[in-house]
Amino acid sequence: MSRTITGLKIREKRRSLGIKQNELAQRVGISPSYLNLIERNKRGIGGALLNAIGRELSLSFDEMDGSAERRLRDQLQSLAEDPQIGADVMADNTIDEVIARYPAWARAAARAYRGFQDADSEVDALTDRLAHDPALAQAVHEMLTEVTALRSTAEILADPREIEPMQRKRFEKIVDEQSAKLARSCAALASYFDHTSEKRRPMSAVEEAEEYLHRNNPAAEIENVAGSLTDLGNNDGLDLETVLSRNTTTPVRFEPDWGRNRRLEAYAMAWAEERVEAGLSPHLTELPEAAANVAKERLTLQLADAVRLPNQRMIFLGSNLNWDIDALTAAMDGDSGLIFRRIAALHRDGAPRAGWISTDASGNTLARGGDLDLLPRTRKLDCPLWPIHRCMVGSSTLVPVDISGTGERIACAMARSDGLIRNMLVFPASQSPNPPSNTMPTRVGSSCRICSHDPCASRREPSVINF
Amino acid sequence: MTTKVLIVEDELNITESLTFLLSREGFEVTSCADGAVAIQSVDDTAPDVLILDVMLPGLDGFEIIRRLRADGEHRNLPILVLSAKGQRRDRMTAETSGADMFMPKPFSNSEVVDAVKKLAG
Repeated sequence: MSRTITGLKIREKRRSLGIKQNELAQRVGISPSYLNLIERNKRGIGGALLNAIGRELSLSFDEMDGSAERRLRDQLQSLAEDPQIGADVMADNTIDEVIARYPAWARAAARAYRGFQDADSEVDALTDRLAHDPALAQAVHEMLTEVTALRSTAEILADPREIEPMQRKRFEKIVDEQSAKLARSCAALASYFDHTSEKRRPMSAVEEAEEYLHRNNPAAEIENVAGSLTDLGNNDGLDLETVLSRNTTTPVRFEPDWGRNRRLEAYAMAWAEERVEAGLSPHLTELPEAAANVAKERLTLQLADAVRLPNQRMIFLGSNLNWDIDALTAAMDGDSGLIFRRIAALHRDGAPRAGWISTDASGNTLARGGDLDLLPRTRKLDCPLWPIHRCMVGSSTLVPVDISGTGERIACAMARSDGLIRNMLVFPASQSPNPPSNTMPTRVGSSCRICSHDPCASRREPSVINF
Repeated sequence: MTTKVLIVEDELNITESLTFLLSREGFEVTSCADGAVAIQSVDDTAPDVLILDVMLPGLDGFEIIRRLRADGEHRNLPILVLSAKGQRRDRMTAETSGADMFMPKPFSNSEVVDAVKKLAG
């Protein structure tokens, strides 16, 4: 199996890089005809030669020796054999070819299948829980019993017919008792669902990575590692670009029209990627491969940001500019994304407490960070009233928003659009960096389908829930 | 002759409301809160209609119905089941046990009074 995958993999990668067969053969010290046999799967390959070809083609050993493909192949095999998906769509002997020729599609199919399996398991678990969970059944039973007593007594009191004063007093006492009991039962039930939702397995690699980083983010280590590099430059009297270029082994390619900030960003990303790969957060191995890769990307960006705009400088600039996003963006050559991300990253270290969310132009969430308790639990901001969907290109305004279902009811949001990416920070109203406008908070909801806000000029469809 | 109703319900506030409502409608109402003594209460009070909760201490409502129906003397006693377990399965269990009517909680007072009047004939 690995021979089949490895040969095809080498050929595909070599061609995609535009390297001729004889050129690669020469670089790794073998004859072109021998490489031809390897690529056509007529010869096995391993050890030093495999490593050498991997280095030339920037392929990891894991990719080269086929273990990643073996896992992928197993997943696609399960997909093909799953009667719910349709076994006839992918014959066994075509799986290798699909993996070798269309690796991105193969990985996407495997991810989709894993998501399908996770969702399937979760539906089973939830169905089972609703049907058989004694704690849930008991809680619902108690609540219905209390509601029944309350409703029945309230109806008697509302009835216009005469009731003796003593009897009326007795029923009023029952209403008081029952409403207190009902409040306790509701709180217990809400707490039960909170608890179970904490245990729920995230549904996607991105969610899993975000949850992991929220719990285990090595923020202090990131600031330290970034600080060490900037200290190095300060000690030697070198500018950051020079320090980064001297401490990065990965070749960095520039476009001729890139300014200093763009070059710095490219260097910082290359340098950060090396640090993360070298084990900045070794516990990422606890995560499934797809989630670990997302977490690595996030950590790389976080580290690159920290080296471009170090902690102390960010706090200094922010304090001096009253955390005005537009002024801060101007101070960083127009890179608003960097400002949003750094405020969110430093929300425990002197920057205002804030949750950060970034979306593309179609409103899909790209990343989130900072204090996630200030953001809705769902990743997608379906409500068109969120400032991030209405923000202006190149400028930001702090507006009050009324949010339910988050850690804060009234918050202030500040959003800005730059090109295809939009960013938004959500601050608690009481800790907003500067006073918001005097307008009434905009009520933002969830998706229209389950949103109770009525009337709402932005409603797209009726709610399915009778509030 | 006054129609007698026995309420077997462990939530005393519900019992109190139902007792008030049914008494006002002219029924003679007695009650007990323990499933284990429900059958004895039926024997003692000889009700014309039995209102029965399902989840009771001592003996659950479905089992009480089965035992009453197995006893020739109470085979035709009209039984109204009140239950917070409103699922289809529980409704079916009530029917197969021998209940005459099933009413999920929460109910309205008028629904219960109307049901009792109907069962009392």
